[in-house]
Amino acid sequence: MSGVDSGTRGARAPRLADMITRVVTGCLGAGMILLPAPQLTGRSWALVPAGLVLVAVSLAGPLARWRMVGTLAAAAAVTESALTRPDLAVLAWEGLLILGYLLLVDAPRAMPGTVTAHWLWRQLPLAVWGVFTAAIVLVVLAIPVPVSAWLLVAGAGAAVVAVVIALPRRPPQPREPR
Amino acid sequence: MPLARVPATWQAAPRLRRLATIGVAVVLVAVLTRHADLLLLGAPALAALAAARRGSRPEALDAAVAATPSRCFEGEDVEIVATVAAPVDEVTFRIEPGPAVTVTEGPVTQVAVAGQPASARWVLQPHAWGRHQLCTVTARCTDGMGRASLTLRPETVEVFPHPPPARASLLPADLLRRIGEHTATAPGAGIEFSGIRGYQPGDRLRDLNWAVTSRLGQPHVNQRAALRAADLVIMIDAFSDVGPPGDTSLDLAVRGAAGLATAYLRTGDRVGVVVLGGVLRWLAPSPGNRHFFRIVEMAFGVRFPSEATPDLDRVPRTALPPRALVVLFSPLLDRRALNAVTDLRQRGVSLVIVDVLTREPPAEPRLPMAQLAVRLWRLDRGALRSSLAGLGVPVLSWDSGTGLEGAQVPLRGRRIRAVR
Repeated sequence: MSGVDSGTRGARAPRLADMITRVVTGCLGAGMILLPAPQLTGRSWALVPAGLVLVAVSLAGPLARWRMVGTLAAAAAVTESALTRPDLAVLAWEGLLILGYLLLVDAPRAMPGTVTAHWLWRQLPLAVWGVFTAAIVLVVLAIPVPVSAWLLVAGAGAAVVAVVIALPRRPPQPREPR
Repeated sequence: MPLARVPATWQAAPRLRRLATIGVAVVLVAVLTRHADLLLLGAPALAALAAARRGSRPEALDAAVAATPSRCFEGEDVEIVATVAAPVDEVTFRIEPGPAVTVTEGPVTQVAVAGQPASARWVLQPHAWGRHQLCTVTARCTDGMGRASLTLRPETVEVFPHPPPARASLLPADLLRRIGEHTATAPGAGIEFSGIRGYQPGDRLRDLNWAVTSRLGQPHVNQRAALRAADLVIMIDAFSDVGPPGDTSLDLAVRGAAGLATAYLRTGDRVGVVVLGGVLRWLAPSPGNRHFFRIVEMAFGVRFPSEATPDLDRVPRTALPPRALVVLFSPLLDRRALNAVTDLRQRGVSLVIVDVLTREPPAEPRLPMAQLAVRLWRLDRGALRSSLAGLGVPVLSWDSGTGLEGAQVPLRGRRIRAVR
C-alpha cells in the first residue's frame, strides 16, 4: 500500500518549439559572451566561462527560475565590452545580442508551437525598435564629435526618462462624492 | 462560466527590471569610463523599454475558474477550466494541485497570448474523500512591462469515498422481525432448508418430503428458514488519524464504512452511523440508496479535532437500536475509543471491530533501540487484540489494498452474539 500524494502525471516533456526557443536564446547568450572574448587579456578571461555558465543556468537547471541569473549573464557581457572597448560595429552587434537574449530568456516555458510563434511575433516590435535605435546611435557615434560630458548626461537622462515612461501606472482614483 | 472581477495589483514585469538594469548599468559604465561608445550596448535595451506599451491598466480583471462536476467519487475525473477575459498581452496559468490530487491531463503551466482565448484546462483526479478545494490556479497577466498575478480558487468539490467491495455477511445472532434477505434461525417462509417435521394441518402439500414420508409411513414436511432484515450501525473512530494524506486511518475507516453501507443498503437493510470523536454525531438507521449519500455527507465532517470523551448515553435509542450489529472502524490507538468499546459491550451490543491501522511506527534503522521499540509496540497491539477477543469482540484486520469482503472471511457463517 502506498500513500497518495499530489502529483502531475499529465505534465509532458518539453515541446519542440520550447526547445528551439531555448536553443536560440542560448545561441544569442553565447554570442554576447563570446563576441568581445578574443580581445580579453589576463584574468579578465575568467568572465567568459562565468558568462557561459550563467547563460546555461538561465536556460535550464534549478536556478533557471531565479531571474537574476539572466541579468547577471548580460552584465558579464557588458563588463567584457567595457574592458575590451571593441569597435563601434562590434558594440552595436553586442547590444543587439544582449537585447535579443534578454527578450527571449523571458519566454514562458512549455508553449505549444502556435503559441510560441504568436509570442515571438509580439516581441518583434521591441526588437525592431532596438535595431532602429542601435543604428541611430551608431551613426551619431560614427560622426566625429568632440567628447562632451553634456552628451553623456543627456544619455543618462534619456535612460531615466525611458524607464519612467515604461513603468506601469495606476489609473487615477475617482473622487469620493461629498 | 460567469466571470468575477478579481482585484489585480500591477507590478513591474521581470523583463522591465532586466532591461532597465542593463540599460542603467551601461549608461553608468559609459559615464564613469568616459566612453560614449559603450552606450551602444544599452541603447537597444532602453529603446525596447521605451517602445513597450504604456497606459493605465485595469485595477480588476475578469477571471474565473470552474470545477466540473461538483460531486464525484474518489479516482474520478474533475475538469478544471480557468479563464481570464482581459486585454493583456500574455497570460500564464499555473495549477497547484492540492494534497492527494493528481493532474492527469494538461500541462501544469499553460500560456495564452493576446489574440487567443485566455483559458486553460486540466483534468484532476482526487484521491481523498471530503469537501476539497482541489487546486489553486495562478494566472500571471503580462501587459507591456507590467505584470499582475491573480490567484483563482475553484468552488469546493464534494469527493465521495470510493466504496470497496463488501458483502452483507456480518450478522447479529438475533435478526429483526422484519422481512429481509438474511437467513434467520427461526423457521419461516424463506427458501433455505432448515429441517423436517411431522405434517400439521394447514401445511402446504408442496412442502411434503416424499422420501421421508414413504420411509416412515407418516407425512413429513420440509421446514424453511425465515428471511429477516438486519440493522447495521457503523461507528467511525475519529479520535486518531494517522498516515499520509489520502491514505490515513480515518480515510480508510470512512471508505470501509461506505463499502459496508453500500452492501447492506443493497440488501434492503437499515444502516446508521455514529461518529466517535469531536462532536458526537449520529444518523439513525434507515434503508434506501439515498441514505448512502446522507451517510457520506455526514462523514465529511469527521475531521474535527477535540479532546472531549464521547458519552454514548447521549446517542438516542433510535440511532443505536437494540439487536443492531455495530461495526466499529478504528485504528485502536485512542483510549477513549477503547472505553467506548467496553461501554458498548456492557450494554449488550453485538459488536465487530475493523482495525484500519495498516502502518507500523517508522523504525529508524540507525537507532539501536528503534527496532526494540517497534517490537514492543507489536506486542502491545497483540495484547490489545487478545483482550478484545477475551471480551467477545472479534477484531478484523483490513488493508486498503484489498476489498472489505476479504477481511470479512474469518467471520463468514458466524453470527455475532451479544455478550454482557
